[in-house]
Amino acid sequence: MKKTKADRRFRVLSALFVTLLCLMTGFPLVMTISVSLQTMSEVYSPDLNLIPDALQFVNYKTAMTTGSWARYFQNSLTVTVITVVISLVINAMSGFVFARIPFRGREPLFMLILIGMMIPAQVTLIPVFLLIRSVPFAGGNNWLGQGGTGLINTYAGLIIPYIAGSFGVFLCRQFYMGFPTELDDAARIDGCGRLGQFFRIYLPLSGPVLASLAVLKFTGTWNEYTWPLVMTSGDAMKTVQLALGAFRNEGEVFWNQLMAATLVSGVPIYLLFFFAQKHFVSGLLAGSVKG
Amino acid sequence: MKKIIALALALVLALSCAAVASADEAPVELTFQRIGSDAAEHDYWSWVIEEFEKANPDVKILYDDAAIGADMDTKLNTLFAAGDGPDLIGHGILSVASRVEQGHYLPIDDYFNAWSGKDNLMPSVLANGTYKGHVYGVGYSSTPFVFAYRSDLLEAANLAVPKTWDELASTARALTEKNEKGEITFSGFCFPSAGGNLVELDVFVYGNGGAYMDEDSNPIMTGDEKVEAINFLKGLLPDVNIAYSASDTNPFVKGQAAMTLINNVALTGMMAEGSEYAGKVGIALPPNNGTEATFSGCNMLFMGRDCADKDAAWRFIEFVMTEESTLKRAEMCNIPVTLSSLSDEFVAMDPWNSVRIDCVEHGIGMPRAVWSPSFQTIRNELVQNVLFGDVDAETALKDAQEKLEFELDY
Amino acid sequence: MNTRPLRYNRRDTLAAWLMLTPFLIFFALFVVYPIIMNFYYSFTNYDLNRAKWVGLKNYRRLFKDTAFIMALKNTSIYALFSVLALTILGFLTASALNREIRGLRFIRTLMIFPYATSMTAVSMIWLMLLDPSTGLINKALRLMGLSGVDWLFTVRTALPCLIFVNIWKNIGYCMLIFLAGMQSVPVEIYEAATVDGASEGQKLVHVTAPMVRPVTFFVSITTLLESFKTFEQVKLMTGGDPLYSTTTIVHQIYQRGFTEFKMGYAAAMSVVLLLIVLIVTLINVRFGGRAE
Repeated sequence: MKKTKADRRFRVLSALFVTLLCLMTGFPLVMTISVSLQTMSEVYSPDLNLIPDALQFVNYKTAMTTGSWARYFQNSLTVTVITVVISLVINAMSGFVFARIPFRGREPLFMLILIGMMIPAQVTLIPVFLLIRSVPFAGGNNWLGQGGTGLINTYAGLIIPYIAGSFGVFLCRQFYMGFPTELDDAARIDGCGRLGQFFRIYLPLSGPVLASLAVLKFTGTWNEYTWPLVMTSGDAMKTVQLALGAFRNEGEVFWNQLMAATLVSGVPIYLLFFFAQKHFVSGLLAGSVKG
Repeated sequence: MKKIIALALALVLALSCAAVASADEAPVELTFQRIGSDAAEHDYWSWVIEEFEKANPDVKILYDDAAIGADMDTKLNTLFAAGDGPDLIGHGILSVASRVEQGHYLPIDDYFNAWSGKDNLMPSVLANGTYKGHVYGVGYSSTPFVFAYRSDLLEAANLAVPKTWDELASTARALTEKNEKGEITFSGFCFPSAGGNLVELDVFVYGNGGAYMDEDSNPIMTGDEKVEAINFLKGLLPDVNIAYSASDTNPFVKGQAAMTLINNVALTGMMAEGSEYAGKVGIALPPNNGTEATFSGCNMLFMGRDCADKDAAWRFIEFVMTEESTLKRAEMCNIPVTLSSLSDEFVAMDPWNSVRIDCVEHGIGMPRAVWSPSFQTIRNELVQNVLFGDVDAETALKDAQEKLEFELDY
Repeated sequence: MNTRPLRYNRRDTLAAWLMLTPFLIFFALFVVYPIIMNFYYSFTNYDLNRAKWVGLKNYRRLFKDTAFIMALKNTSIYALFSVLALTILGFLTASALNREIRGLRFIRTLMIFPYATSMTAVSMIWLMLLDPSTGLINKALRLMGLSGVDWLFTVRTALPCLIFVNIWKNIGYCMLIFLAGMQSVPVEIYEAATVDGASEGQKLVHVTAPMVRPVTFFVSITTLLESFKTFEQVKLMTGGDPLYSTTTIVHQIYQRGFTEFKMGYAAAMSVVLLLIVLIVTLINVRFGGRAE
């Protein structure tokens, strides 16, 4: 294989490009870690301190003992895991229907579902809150959903609004459309109904798309701020993202503790990405299958 | 997979059951939503709630707080829109008119008039919680803006603490440091360029005898006092200021400014013993142009529209307003007391407390009118228009007036 | 989709609706119902307490509201540049990484860090770095003998800063998808191109780009939808300041609705937002999806 001068220049250029991007991404990360280990006067000093004089691991300790972080993590984990599991099943099933079962009105319905991806959460906040408050028989409500607080300040209230996910349906549909149609024929010969076809053939083959959807859904739910803010009250139901607010007050930010807490609060997600990276990518690729 | 689904469903069911089960309890539960998410106040309220529950075993307070600004209002608005507003609310002056008009706050005249401590509440504090002749809020903390200065730097430069605008300008210019390229590296007097609520402008407007509201509660954005205040700042700030947002840390607290206007509470850490600035920071009533005045916020306890047990809620308000609780708060958070009987005791607690009380007494709060949330936005825009834009003060003020009137028509 | 059956199987139709039921229940309650309510509110003066029918008044107000007009402009600029930069940079980074490189796994993990971090945390990190006096960026500029910049306090630089932070946060995600797409391109095509004497640059333009076209479409449409919903970043980093130069549509919706009690007016804004996003998406589908 011959190597032209242009090719070599191309290689050098792309290596340079990647190095630059890595620096750009890495530097703020290094700074975050650095600040989390500095004293406040180091943070505010006019000099450039990359390496703190003495590593202040005490910031992590102080941050994690401001409030009950074990409880916050427990809340966030419970809510996130349940949301991910339920929404995954429902999304995959709906994606399968849109990809494989022909029925009247399928395309318009799918278009309608895509609108869900265009609506910002701030717009739906109040109607959704009203719904959650008037769930019948919950939180002291009667059968009409009146009289009590419904699912406000419960895990269920944090989970339910996130179960429907248009993006998940979209991604799964795209994924299943890439399956060979012979699969369906094989299933029909085996005498499977549509439901059986989904559970016995499609779902076991859905590893990649479910992995990527799980990672995305986990990240989204874990990092959610506005909905938990209005839905929960008090320390007992606080999620990790809300708890970060304690280091930031009007006119005052405890940068070192905030950065320490930020890093700790991201650990579950970093772990998830680290382990699911390979599947994550191949499943997402499904989203770009033509259709 | 099926196992996981089953498990998840079981969990959801169990959780909703738990939510239902916890509802039938003997003591009255009162929800309490307070503005501000800082640790010091959080500790104080934990203490007072614990004491209250010890003395009143039949009442349980469910405490929650939210950051100042949009977070607090989003939360309250959503709760009230759902008919599930908190029983007790700790909120500022800005909220009074709009939330009374919305029906979110209950009038508490009957309770208040029967209260033995009512004459002990400072008159200005009582006024903050009164709207259209009815009492709605009882002030538990005053948050005056003070003029903070670095006494060590003033001393080193042999300068006195400025009392007038002219003195402020010359002192600020003298203390500003620039590098060889002319960039300001140390601010003589810093003033926010952005932020949630730029009350720093109000300090100058009030200090020049100006006001934003007439007797009929109509907004007045125009007037010579405001033009003068704005032009003074416009002439001074480019020479001495470092840009910052009022929602973030003031450069003064970072040790990068010699003087500033700042919420008294934000200085707590800096003035505390053991801080590197301990003994180097002084506070005073802001320099003025003829009228001694400053901005002073006030946080009050309100009874919510959906309050489950008004008697119990009032008992809590009374408990918070006792001399003992009030002194404890002053001790824990450096917050000026709102009870007249404790003034002397508060002054004795800390050498700077007399200044704090002085600032409360000369303090003017946010306008108590339905248009005050819009006022906040439009005043911020005004500050930026004049300080960063090419608009002259008269035009900007006239625009602000028109905008505010436009907003009134909703 | 090309081979639409002539008549629908009744058992299939039944199965389809049954299997869609769980999703549709949640979708109807938490997406459709709020949209309908929102549409209704947009014709009222709903203030979270009372709602009176006011016809088109809210919509007429929109055109006189300088803050909203600024928000429209800012959101469009934000979306346009975010999408362009993320698609192009994502593609370029992926193609630079699409070879045997030592430490590829490390680079991928590093680049996904900003994406995995919440927007709240990312905003705080950059707020710290962009601080005029104590921020790392200005400190570095001064060390290099340059002047500092009041990044978030200057009308000219504030919005570009927000766009940059958005790109910084999402570039790793886009890169990963492009990379996966490129790795699924059959090696034979590249070999054939090499035989034909194509340079690396030519291969990138004539082989890789057309082969990952569906990926490009996917990346651009998802980043577009996200960009139009930008809010948290604005709320935390600038609050829409200075002089509305960074306010976005959703930020205005939030401000008007939640801090100024003008829910009806905010609802009108969100109807406009939905319309814009719908139109832009349709245009994108028309042109982006056409070549397939």
